[in-house]
Amino acid sequence: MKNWFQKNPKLLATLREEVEDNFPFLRVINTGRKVVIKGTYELVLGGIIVERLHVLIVIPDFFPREIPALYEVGGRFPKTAKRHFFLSTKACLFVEEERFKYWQSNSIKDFINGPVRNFFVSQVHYEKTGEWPFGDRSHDEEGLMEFYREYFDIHNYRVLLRFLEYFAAGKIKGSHKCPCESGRSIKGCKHGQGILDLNDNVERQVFKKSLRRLKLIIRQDPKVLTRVI
Amino acid sequence: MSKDKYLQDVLDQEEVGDKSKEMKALRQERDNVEKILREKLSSKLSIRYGGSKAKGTMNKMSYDLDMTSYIGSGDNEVGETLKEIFDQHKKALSEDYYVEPKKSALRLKSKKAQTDLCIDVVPGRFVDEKKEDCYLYQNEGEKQRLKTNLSKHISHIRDSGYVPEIRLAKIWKTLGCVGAKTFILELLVVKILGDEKAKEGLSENMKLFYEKLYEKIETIVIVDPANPQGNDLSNILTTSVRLELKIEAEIALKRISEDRWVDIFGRIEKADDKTKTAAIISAPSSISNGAKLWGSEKF
Repeated sequence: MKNWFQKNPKLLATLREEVEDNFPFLRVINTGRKVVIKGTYELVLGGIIVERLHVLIVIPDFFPREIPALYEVGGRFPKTAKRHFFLSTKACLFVEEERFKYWQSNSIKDFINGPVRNFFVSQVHYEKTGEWPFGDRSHDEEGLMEFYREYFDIHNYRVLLRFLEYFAAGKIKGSHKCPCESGRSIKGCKHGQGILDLNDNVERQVFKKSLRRLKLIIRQDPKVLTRVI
Repeated sequence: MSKDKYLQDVLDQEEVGDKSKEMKALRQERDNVEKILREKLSSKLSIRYGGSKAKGTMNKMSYDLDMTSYIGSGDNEVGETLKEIFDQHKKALSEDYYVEPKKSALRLKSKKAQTDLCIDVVPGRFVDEKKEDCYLYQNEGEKQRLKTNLSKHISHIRDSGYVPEIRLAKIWKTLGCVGAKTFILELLVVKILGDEKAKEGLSENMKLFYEKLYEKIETIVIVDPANPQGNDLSNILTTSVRLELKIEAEIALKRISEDRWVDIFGRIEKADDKTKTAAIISAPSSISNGAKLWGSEKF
C-alpha cells in the first residue's frame, strides 16, 4: 500500500518547500516509510527569540486528514498529563474534534505557526504565571466530555457514547433518531445542525478513536456511564 | 556588520562563563553528584570535569557537564568488572536522580521536575598506576570495553587552535539537529582545518570547513587521538552520518553564498531575561485562536 507521499509527491514537495522557506532550522526527512520534520524550532514572541526547542513532527499516514504528531525531544518540558502530553510523550495540542477551530488549512506552515507555536506559548506562559493562557481541558475522558458538553450541551457519558457511536458509523441522515435520546429526528432536534457541522469538519477516524478511548474507560470502570457532568 | 563580527557575537552570546547561572547550577549539581559517589561508592574515586567544559567548547544553547569517575587499576571497591563499576554508579545515583544509561555514560535527570540536568557521569577504571589511560564500559556495540585517555582528548581539542570554529560547528549541529556525534564533529573540524592550515578569520575558516567537509566527508579518515590504533570510529562516523553531513554542508554553503549566515548560526538575541519574560506574559493577548490543551495519563 502506498504512503501519502507516494500517492501524492506534490504534497510532499509542497510540505518540504514550506518548511525550508519558513523554518531554517527544521529539516524534512523522508525515511521511505515515514516523513518526519526534525530540528530546532525558534519560539519568537514580540520579535524576541524566547526559546529554542528541539522538536520532532511526525507526518501521519493519512496526512493532511490526520493531524501531525508533535514531540518536544530536548527534555525542556516534563512529559506529564498535567503539562498536556500523552503517555507516549506526544504533545496534546487540542481535543482532535476541535481541529477545525485551530488548523483549518492543510498547510504544514500553518500547523507549525498555529497549534505548534501556541502549544509552546502556553507552556512557557504557564511556567511564568502558573496559568494556561488559552485555558485547558481536564485530563483523559473528562476533557473529551467537556468538548462535547460545550458543543452539544450533553451532560452524561451514556449519551456521549451514543453520539460517538453514531459519528463513528459514518452515516448521517436527517431522518435518523438523534443520539441525544430525545426521540426527535436529527432534522427536528436542536442538535441537528451541530451534528451535520461536526460531521463535515471532523474525520471519521477521529470519532472512532474517541469511541475506542471511551470504551476503554468504560471497560475499566462501568460506573462512568452513570456519571453526570 | 561584518561576518566575522557577527560570528564573534554569536560565540559571545553562547559563552557559558564561570559565573553564569548555568555554570552555577551545574556546579551545584556536580558537587551533589560527587558527594553521592564518594559516600556511596568510594572516597578514592578520581572525579573531574571532562567534555566541553574542560575543552573550552561549551555553548549555552546545548551544554552538558561530563564528569568522569574513575577508580584505580587494582581497586575493586566499586566492582571487579567494568560492567559492575558502571552498574554500581547507576545504583548509587538512582536514589536521587532518574538515571538513563547511554553507551558509556549515565545521563542524570531530575526526579522532581522530570527534566534533563545535562550531566553525564562516565564511570571507568584507570589502566595502570600512571592514571592516564582508562577503560570505559560500553553497553552497546561489539566491544564491551573502550580504552581512552581524557587528558589527550581534552588537549587535542583545546590546544588545536580551532576552538572558536569548533564551537560554531557545534552551534550549527545543535540548531540543525545534525545527526553526527559532537565528538566526531570536533575531530572533523580539527582534522579539516588542520590539514588546510587554516589561519583566516572565522567566516573564511567556516566556509573552508564546509567546502572541505562537502568535498571529503565520504572518504575522510579520522582517528581517536586517545587511542588511534585501538578505537575504530567507523561505527560512529557511519555511511549514513557521512551522507547527512554532506547534505548539511551543502545547505550551509548555499546559505553562505546567499549571505544567510543567521540561518546557519542563529540570530543575535540582545533581550535580557526580564524582557523575554515580559514578551512571554503578553504574547497570548495577540493570539486569537489559542487552543485549550488536553492531556492524558490513560491514552
